[in-house]
Amino acid sequence: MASVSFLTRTVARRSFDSVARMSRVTHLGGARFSSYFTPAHEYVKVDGKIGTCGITDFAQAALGDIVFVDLPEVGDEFAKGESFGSVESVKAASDVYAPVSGTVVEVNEILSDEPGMVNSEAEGKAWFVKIEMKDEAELKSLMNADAYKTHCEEEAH
Amino acid sequence: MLTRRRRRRRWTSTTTTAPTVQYLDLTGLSILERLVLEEYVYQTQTQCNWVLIGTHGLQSTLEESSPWSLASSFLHSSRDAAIVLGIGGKIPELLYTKPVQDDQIPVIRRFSGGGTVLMNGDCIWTTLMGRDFPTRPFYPRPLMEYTATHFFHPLFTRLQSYQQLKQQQSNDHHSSTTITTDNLFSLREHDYVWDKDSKIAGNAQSIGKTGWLHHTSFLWQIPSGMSRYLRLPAKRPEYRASRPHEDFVRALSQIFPHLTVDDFRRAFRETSQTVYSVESSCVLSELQEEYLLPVVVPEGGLRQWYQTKSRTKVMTQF
Repeated sequence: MASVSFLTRTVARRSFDSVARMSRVTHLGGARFSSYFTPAHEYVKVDGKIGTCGITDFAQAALGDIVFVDLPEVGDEFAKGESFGSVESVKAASDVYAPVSGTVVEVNEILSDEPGMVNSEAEGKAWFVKIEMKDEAELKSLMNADAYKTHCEEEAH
Repeated sequence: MLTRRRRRRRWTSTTTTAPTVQYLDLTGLSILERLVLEEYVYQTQTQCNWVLIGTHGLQSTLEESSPWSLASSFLHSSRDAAIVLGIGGKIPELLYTKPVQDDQIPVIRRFSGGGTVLMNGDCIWTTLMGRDFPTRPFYPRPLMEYTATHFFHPLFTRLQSYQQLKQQQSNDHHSSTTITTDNLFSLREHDYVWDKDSKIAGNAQSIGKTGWLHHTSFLWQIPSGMSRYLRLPAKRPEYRASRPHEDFVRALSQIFPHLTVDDFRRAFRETSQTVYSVESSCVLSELQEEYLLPVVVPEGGLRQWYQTKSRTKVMTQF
């Protein structure tokens, strides 16, 4: 699967560059922003008790053109690792899993009309949901940017 | 959990031996029951790999008392056919809604991705579910290539051999039809095609952390009404151009005029036995006896699961 390996290496590099920009820890009025990643290529960007979740650039490239995003409703609760929605790409509906436990407080409504935005803004404007985290300790089991970069490179081979 | 015949075996992704699969022939289920049962197996029976086949109409052969029956959800129509959409399908974009409503064609949204198909008893529906198959990672394109190369190309080679044998047996030397002896099955863009240009099957997938599902609908005969009900999809493969449905898809009965649906089922079973290690094999009557998959009974039967957990839905408002 040489073409897939080349693609995934390219995307892994691009995803890492994007992640490196997101992973900077900044202080703004006492708030800290950090990004964490799952082996299944979801991310959570933490802002206090709120985690902004979506799929990574690596995932969107591997899936292909995104044509539909199925999201939960505000108020829905999910456990870490539980499926909270799915993305459809050409022929496949791929489940998306909650990186952390919590309650959905906001859903990105733009994606219902513009699912293709996931392909261009996966780790930016095309976030899926914002979750009020139930247990911030769950973040410890997720990957940081460096570990995620390594994970992507290993998957590409 | 399977019964006593199941052997517990731990597979790793580096295994070089053939994956072990459980085989089900679900002919006799209704279209809706097939979809929901398949979704149920995919979501809950995650310890096994599965191979499924069947032909389905609107009605079911199950007794209403069967735990697998969706009798209360029987669909009624002037035709024994239903339209099945992918999970993200938008009805106004995909269907001519007035003829669909006038002809009372049921519309079902399935749990997997992919396009729109007009299903009836002339469609052969196959499904592969992989938990630990030798293909990683679980992404759409690698799965398409795996299924085409490792399963369906061998299947069509087998069908060609059946065709040759039957043609010889019929002494049909004077037929004006030229039947190719070459296996012209291939994967083009995201479609299974014959002779590079004619689509012969619709594919759809569902992918999750417990594995993947890849199901395929082959048209043994072209159902009437495709262009009446189904719009030309806005997103379509380049090789299709703007060909209408009847010019784009090709029926298997045209490619294999000497064969029957039962020949296809036999070839599918034999290919499964060659490519995989088939641990158990069951037809619908055995399912009714609760020989396999007994866990649905404590859940209140497939009907209860359909109403509470299934993503498959009959669309009533459009």
